Amino acid sequence: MRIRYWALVALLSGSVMAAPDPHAGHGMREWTAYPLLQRKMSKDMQMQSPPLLSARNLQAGRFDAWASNGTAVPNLPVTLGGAELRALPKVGNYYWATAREETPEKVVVASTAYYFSNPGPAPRAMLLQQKNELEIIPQPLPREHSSYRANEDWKFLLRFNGKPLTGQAIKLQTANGSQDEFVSDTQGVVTVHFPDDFTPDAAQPSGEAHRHGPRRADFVLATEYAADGRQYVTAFNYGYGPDAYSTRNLLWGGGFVMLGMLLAVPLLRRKKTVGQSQSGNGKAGQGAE
Amino acid sequence: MLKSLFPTLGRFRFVVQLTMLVLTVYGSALVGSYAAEKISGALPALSCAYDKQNGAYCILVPLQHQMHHRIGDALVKGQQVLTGAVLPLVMMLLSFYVFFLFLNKAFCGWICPLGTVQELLYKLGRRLNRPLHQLEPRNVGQVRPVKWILFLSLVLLLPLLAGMGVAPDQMGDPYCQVCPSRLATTLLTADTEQLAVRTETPINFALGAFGNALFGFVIIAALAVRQPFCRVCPLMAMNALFQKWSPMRLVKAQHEKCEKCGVCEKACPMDIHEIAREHGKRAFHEDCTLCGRCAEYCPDDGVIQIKFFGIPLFKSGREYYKRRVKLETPEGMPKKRVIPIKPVRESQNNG
Repeated sequence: MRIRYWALVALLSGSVMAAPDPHAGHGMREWTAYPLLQRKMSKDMQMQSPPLLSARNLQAGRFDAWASNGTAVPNLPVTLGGAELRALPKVGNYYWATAREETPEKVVVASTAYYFSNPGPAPRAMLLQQKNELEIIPQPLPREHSSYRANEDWKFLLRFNGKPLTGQAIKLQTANGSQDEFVSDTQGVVTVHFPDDFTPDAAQPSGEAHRHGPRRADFVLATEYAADGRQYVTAFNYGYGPDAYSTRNLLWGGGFVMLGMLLAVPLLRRKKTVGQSQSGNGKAGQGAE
Repeated sequence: MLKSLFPTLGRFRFVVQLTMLVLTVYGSALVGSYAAEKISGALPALSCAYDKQNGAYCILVPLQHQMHHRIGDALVKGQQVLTGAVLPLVMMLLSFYVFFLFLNKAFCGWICPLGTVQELLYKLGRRLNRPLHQLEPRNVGQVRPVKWILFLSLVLLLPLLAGMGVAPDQMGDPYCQVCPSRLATTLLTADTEQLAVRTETPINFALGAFGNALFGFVIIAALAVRQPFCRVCPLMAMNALFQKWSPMRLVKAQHEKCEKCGVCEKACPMDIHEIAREHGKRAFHEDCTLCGRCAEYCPDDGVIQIKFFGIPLFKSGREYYKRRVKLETPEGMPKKRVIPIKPVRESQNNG
């Protein structure tokens, strides 16, 4: 049974390295009214293959994806379980996925990023390519070994039809209950501060043990814009973790470094008896003279 | 022009080392985030994945991941071993080999940021007049197996066992958790996160404690011992596995003076005593980092050479040797001290 448990953890951690966390730590409670695009998980928390994406808070008419090299994967096949996201042959790394609801009056887009652990190019082209009218673009997206974390500032570019939006408001909501609002600068870039809203006694969602941090929760960034008599709403949801130092101790760390240094100090002492080991300053290469 | 900029091979290597240190530690400032994806995730040098912007160049990172997440998992499931585990591993090793083909173990002696940091500290130790501890042949023989033990246990076996569910999941990347390069390169970016020991589990804490103590030891030891960590580095072991399969190599011809000379032996930062006694293939030892110091300090023409596809890139020579020893002793002591510690004290006392 123990072997099965660890094999499951290894499987989960290998296949969903930095994917968004569906319902992380909060069951099915609605923590936001903004549109979300999340990976669907079965009841026993086993990851599906291929990943199935489900949209919440919008009536998605279509699901699209873009590979890390910018290649579009339009109209993802939709089954009862959700929209199937498959990596293109030989193109791994990050994929951008969107769900879109469109009416004459309104365009609602939910977006997220998904990580396939097989190799692929950096997601630069994927991020910069225009994918919808109103966009929230991570600048950059955290690398595989990095992640959004509490008490950190991350930049996002807000665009409409490919042009930066100056002075545009963006709202942050987290599954831990925090809310905040930020405004973009003259370049259309907004700096988002992630709140330190993890409580020490929060339950650890099963299957989340090896996700580059002990716990994670969902967040959503959303912005609205009106143009040509149409209302545009776009959201980007992803996972974030607790403060970097919440499970680390700098004092202990510094103490052990000092211990190691002290153990090496005898090497720095000069002995009075000069032997071969003290030949550092001596004249070398007698045989060569 | 080039000769005035790089009068010696040692100066040229030092400039390359500093350039690579800047690139591997601060490269994202030049080429933006995702720098690792632009260069490689399979570099034969210890560049750390825990740097938030650069990182993930080091081959040992994906190697542990492959053992942990793919091979161990595939073995447990008993399926997709070929496509799910073996092929990705082969592809990763091929990426590694593409780099290795051209530079061989010069990745250790010219590229590795931790190697450069240790060399800088050793230079500082010379200027602070600290002693030099060279390892005798008997002691070297005791140290050499350690790198193989670390490679087999921390890079291959424990991640594999973690992937199979036999060892705890925290053992998925045990080498990364004790690697001194992780601390050295992240501290160079003023990031103290990796310095802080993880406290989630006793295993995390124990590995972090050992890693930090090892880092502290290496930093101080490097003032008096040349390349203390390189001697036990598992990447040195992995690179040694491939060193015969690269056209870049160290070549030494048999020479009657070698037995009584031994200058190359003193110049070697890895204390490879065999370089003075052996010739042919045996002179290119598994611990060689292709730093080229033995060739620089060999006083006989053409006895030691660094060759690429049989073409000499550098070869020893008497005139070069004479110029070289005027600048620095084989052990690395500069002839012109930048900080003249003792003479100043003496003159003050006399005055």
